[in-house]
Amino acid sequence: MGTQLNLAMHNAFDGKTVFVTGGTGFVGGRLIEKLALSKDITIKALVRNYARAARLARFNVKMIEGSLTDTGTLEDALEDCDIVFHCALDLTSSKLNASALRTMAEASLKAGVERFVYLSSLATYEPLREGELNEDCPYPPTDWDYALGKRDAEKIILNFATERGLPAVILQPTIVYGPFSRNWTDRPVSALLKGQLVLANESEGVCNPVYIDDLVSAILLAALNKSAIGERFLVSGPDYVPWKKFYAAYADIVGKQTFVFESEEQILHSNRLTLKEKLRSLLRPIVHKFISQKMKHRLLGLLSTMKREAGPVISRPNAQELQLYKSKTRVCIDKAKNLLGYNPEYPFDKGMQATAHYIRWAFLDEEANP
Amino acid sequence: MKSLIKTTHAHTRSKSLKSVFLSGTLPKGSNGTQLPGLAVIGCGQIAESCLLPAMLEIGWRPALLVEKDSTQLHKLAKQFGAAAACETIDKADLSDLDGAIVSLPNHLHEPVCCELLKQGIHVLVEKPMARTSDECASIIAAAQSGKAQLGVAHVYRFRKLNQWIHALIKSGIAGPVKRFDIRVGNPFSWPVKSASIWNKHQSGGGALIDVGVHVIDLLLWWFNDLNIIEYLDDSESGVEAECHLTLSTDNGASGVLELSRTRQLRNTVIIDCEKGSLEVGIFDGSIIRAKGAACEFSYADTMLSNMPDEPWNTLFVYELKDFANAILESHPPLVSPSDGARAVAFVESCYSQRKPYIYPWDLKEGA
Repeated sequence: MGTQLNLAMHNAFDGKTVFVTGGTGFVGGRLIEKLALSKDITIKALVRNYARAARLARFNVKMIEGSLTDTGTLEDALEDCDIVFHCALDLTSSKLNASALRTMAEASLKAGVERFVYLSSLATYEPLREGELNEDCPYPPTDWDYALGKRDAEKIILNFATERGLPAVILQPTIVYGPFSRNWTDRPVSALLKGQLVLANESEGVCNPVYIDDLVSAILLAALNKSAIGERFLVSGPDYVPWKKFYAAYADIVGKQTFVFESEEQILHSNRLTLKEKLRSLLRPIVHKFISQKMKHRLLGLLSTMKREAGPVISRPNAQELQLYKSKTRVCIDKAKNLLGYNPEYPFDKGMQATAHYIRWAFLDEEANP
Repeated sequence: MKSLIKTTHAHTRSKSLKSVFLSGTLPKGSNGTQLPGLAVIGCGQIAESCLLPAMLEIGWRPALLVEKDSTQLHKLAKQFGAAAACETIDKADLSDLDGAIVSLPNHLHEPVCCELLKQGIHVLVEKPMARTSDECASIIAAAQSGKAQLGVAHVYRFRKLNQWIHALIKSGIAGPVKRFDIRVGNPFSWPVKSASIWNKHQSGGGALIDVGVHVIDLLLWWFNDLNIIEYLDDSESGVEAECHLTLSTDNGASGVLELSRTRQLRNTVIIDCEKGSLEVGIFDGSIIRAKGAACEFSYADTMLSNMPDEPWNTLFVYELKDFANAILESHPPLVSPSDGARAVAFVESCYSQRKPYIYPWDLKEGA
């Protein structure tokens, strides 16, 4: 990792006990890799599904079996913690996320944690406004569940910070790419290698990319810097690229120009026609309404497997992404720079260079046998 | 039944590979109908998905199931018609047992196998045989003291294609092996029910001792010897998800074995001999390509062109039939204790000379 995560920074975590949710995922996984560089740190990670813990298990991490719904487990796990990194998100229910967040915030207060870092998202600002975007920009009206859920979560955290004195920080990362990024790296690469990557003709917008290690730097700075408390920070990389360039970089790396441009209308029409999409949209409400929480995870996992495994991978933007790809918003990261000391080290070309090494490593065999 | 088993202990009888290759039939018990009383100790995923269905397929009902998760225990006992079920081995009645399959977490292999073997109960132990060579030695000693058969579940030995490759190399028809290249990996998805597999003390290691030990067993069997040139893995005081082995054989072949728990690799073995080459699927037994003498070689009336398809689950059927044969006819199982111990010793040797595996994206930035 770069100079930001120098030895002094890692020493700052020595002797600390940290609790990470989402440690089996993309951001939480890399965060733990970097935290583990500290010599005398105790890392606890909430693990919902042991099958996903292969990367995490490389380290001396205390795995706490449970999900965001297990109040007792969360309270016990947080009891002796100094720092909490809440990176997990339960995609099945925003109500559940809010309730888990309250539980964690209460338990963190009780434990007297030094810092509670919550990972929100740029999505809270969607649909994105034109021009520059900073933390003072209001949230526009939306009916997108994900964005609404994140906004609710931010309200809860800020409320705990201002009313109850929870030393919380909110980070709002933009488009996080790099090794193991399912949405912004693996998915387009798989589509390029095994099918088609469809973009809209109208995708003339600007991408605000952030390489994973820059985001992890920001997370660690947020955990250490006192001036971060009670604040929200947009976290993006040092530069912007057109969306078409963002995806073209992947096509260059894998050596396949399997891009297809369609009109927005055509894409929306195809999305409506996709049988699997129909099946999923039919099953999801049933799963949410009638099935127990544990079974819900299994079934939703099965549905996402269906999505991955059936036929060639055709990655077509959904309605939210179509909007995102048209947006020319440029995210301003001055607040993170000024208050956190955040100094992103991965311009897009450098981040993609590192990502290219990952892609060749992770997809080498698929490249050879498409 | 048990008394009959105990009267015949013929460890010296050697079984030809060919008989295993061809047979696959299950001998009947002494009374012509009865199969040995068999316990399955540890009823996690491997028992549920592979071992018990294979038993069912050959009409072999378990005499006893032991599993600490009572819900799982009773579900499987009902599903597979077990005569008895118990949550812990110390509370189980072992008196009528002839044999047991031990499919517990790795750290329990040694104590449980030893206890069973000392009582003269024949054991088929899941791979790896144990975590260390010392534990393997202790299990072997217990088998000797109890005069019981001990088999190790390196199930890929039962694939006819792998037996054919063994015969091809031994025959020398394709000339000496020059190079081999194995890449085995899938994003880990085994539905583990506890953290035991991720606990270094309990599992003994990561990808290498888990799926890797299967491959190492095959390589040691095919090539007779294997030297470690370099071993790299990505463990940081935990268990490795990635490892890379550079190998050689005494006959001058060089090779690479790469294992991953995070990546979809090709899951094939490539073997280049002087007069022919071969690429086959390690798990599915598919024949990807073959050239030269490999295309002409015939073993037990089987060539690559008429190699039977063998779904994964059939391998467990063969394995159980072999174990039943070992119990009923008192000859050693196909995969012997020394084979199992040899693979574990090799793994141990890799871990003892471990060098760090740096991810290429970290390497390039100088981290």
